[in-house]
Amino acid sequence: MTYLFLSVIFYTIAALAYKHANQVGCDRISLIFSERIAAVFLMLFYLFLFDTFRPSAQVTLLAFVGGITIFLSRLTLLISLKYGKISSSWTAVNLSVIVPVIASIFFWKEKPDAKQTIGLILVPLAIFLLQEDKSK
Amino acid sequence: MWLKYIIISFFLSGISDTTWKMAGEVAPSSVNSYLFIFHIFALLSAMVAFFITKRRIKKDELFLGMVIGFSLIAGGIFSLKAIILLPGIVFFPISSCASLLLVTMFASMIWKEKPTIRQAIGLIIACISIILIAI
Repeated sequence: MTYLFLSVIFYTIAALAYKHANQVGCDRISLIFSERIAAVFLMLFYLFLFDTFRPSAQVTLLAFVGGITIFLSRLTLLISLKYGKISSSWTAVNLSVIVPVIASIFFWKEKPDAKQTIGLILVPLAIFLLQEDKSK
Repeated sequence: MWLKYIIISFFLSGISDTTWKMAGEVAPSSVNSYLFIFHIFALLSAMVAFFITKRRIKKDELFLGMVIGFSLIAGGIFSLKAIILLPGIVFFPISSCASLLLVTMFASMIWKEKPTIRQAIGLIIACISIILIAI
């Protein structure tokens, strides 16, 4: 339970720091650049202490696509904060966990059960409800 | 505008999550190596954008960027540790919803960002959908 508590706290700190950076007018690219330097150092430290480096061509190619898309995703998330609340933006981006589920259905022919199907249907509705009121 | 940017961010983040899942399928023992290379490519992308646009990092940006980077990685590591020790029925509802609720609560206290009733319903539906998909 301690690990779960710490994980929730750290993710919350990250989201609030994004919002604060946006509030104080931090440059988005500079912010992501610093964020990624810290991420690489901590990951290097973790890999060195608890695992061994086992790269392969497939893993490198996937990491290449994943790395570029997460950079662009963070950039657009920071831009979205200009137009909406952190709670709405953070929630909507967290809902992206459905994309691998949808990919599994199409590429690996995995069949979602009834619960997952209802969950998948609810996601667009949640994003629609989370958007800012245009009249404001 | 919010919807446009958040949908782009949503799909890009989803593609990134999918590559992580694919790495887990093709090379389960190399997932940490995948994460390390993934962060290097994300750093290189940021570096290219940083130098092309000729930016300079201010103290605030460096400090907040470091806080975000450490928090995201530490959150991910603790999350992986927790999922090994806890049953999914406990882990997924708490991990999915607690952070969303805490962010909403703190944003309301610090920046007076109170969600509207419609957004609050959206938050609840988001939590329910994540739990339904994850359990």
